[in-house]
Amino acid sequence: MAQNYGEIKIPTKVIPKRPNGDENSLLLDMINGSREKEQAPKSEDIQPIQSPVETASFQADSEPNNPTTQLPDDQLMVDVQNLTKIYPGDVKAVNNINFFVKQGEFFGFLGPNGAGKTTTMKILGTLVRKTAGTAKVLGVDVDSNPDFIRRQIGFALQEISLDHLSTGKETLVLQGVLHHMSKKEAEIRADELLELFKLKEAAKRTVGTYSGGMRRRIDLASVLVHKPKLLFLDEPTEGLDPQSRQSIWQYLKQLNDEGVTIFLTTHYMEEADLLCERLAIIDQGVIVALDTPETLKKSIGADIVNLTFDPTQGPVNNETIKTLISQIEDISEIKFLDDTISVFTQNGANKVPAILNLLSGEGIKIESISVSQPSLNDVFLKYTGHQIREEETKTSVVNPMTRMWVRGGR
Amino acid sequence: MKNVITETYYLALRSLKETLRIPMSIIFPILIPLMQLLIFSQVFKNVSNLPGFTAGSYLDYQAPSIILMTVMFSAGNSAFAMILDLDTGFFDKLLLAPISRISILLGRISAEAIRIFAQTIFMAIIITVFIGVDNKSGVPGIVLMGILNSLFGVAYGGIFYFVALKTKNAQAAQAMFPITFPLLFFSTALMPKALLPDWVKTIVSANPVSYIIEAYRSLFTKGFESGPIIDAVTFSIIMGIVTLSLTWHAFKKLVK
Repeated sequence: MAQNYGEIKIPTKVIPKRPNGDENSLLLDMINGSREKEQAPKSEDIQPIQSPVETASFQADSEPNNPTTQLPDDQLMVDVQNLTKIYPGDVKAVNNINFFVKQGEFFGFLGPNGAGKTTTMKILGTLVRKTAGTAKVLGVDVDSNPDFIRRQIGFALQEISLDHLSTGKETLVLQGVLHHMSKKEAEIRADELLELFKLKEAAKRTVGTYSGGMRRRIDLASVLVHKPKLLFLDEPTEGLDPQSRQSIWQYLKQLNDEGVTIFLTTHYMEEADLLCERLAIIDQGVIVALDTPETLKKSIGADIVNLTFDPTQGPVNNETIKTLISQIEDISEIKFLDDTISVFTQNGANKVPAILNLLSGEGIKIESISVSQPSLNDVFLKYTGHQIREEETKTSVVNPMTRMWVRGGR
Repeated sequence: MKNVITETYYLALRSLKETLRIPMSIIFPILIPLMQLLIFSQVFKNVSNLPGFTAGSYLDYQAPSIILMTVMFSAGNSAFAMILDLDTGFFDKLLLAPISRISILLGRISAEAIRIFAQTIFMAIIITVFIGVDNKSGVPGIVLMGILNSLFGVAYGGIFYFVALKTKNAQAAQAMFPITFPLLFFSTALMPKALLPDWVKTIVSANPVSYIIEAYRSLFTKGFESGPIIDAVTFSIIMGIVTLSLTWHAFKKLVK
């Protein structure tokens, strides 16, 4: 799975390295197909080196409930305070949340379906009215001047929202003229975007004939026609195959590098990890954590050794295993999830021999053992007490940080 | 205001293109009334022998109502298309654009008026030129029928818009379609008023559809007579005010 990154080539000219580049250069390396770091990243490779300015602002975020006060208003693209949305029937979709998005930032909401991601975004995009709190976009209150906000933002809805009977080009031109561009301007811009999104060949076909990946691309292109400074993307890669997903990621990185502020929601850990500079974990309408993906992962404070057992020996007794493994030093936590046991510990790789010895001493057969750096999945689990989504946890084994993978146990 | 006109223009253009890309949505509203004309003119052929029946043949009598059927049989299409936009999320996309909300509705309605106009002209030409029904008002009469049909079509379509926007459900709006039949049968579309039972006469006199048909009938058989034309315009406008205010009300609630 991780090798797939090799199939995307980004010209380094188009995407300049960021000043605080390690996290991003890792991304670029993975996308460009460099294998070194992927196979055995040393611990210093994955520690982001932050500039002092960035560190300061990240510290300001460590309190998710009071994040905005220190920054001058003009820097904030999005400023949300005590935002609440209650739908009829007393459904509290968003419950008193606070966050901001800075200029040029790639910000994300990570959470399961129904967490309140879409509602928050629709409030900011002027599609849904808030119940309480303040929500400012580009310094303007969403209720006071929605038309101003609509002119400045691009908003890609979660459901690909296209007119299937329009051609690709018509779709883009219509968006342009509805944003009060002249027809000529809109057409020039449409051609540019069709070129950028590799849809030139399909420009004259109706969108109904497009594949899923093409529809996502034309949908994304359609929110860029008027060159918005701020993009809202609600699950922009939902339902896409890995390759289409990566090509969308590439466009998004590129846009962000060109200075467009992006606020994205996702329930894909991988996406949040690769793209977002700062990330809010949202669950049941509440922001439970907000920081850089790196800091969030470090907050787990340990490696994770995952064990599964040979099913032919019948069910293993969880308590027995817990007692056994607890004998080893520096074990901070042992968690059971389905048929996997996760052992949280410092220097996980060094603990593997001890764990294997103890278990084989008791005659317990192991099917697999793996050591990983904490993933956002673990972070999500820690802050919410549950998995983001059953099927997601299975695919999120795609963890580029995985250091070793031992099959067969003994 | 200038913006509303430009926005309406581009949205109407989009709706018209959409219509042209589903050829069936143009062909059927022409084909089915023509079929009706053929069937009824044969089945009811002998009606013309009844005392009190003034027109020369049943075909001549029925031709004006066929013009109206063109619009009644396709009245809901535009409302259904808007519901489709709601379902696909394209409607939200329009709401996200910095445009006047009314342009969204006006775009659809003006496209509908243009479509009905074109369809009516086409139908009238078939009836007069190819089927050979005598038309005393000539080409200007056909153009006037196009305008009147558009006016009535928009007013009548308002019923479907209202139900569609109120329920946000295309099926609910589609279920309204059969109201076309009592409106047609309890009018002078198929039978002269003189030949109808008294209680039906009362309904026919109150039915706006009768007045539209009588205007077309007068254009076909007599040429330009102001009375029936004014009646048709008046009834269409009254109907339009009612249905479109309901529609606007439902629309505002939807985009609030």
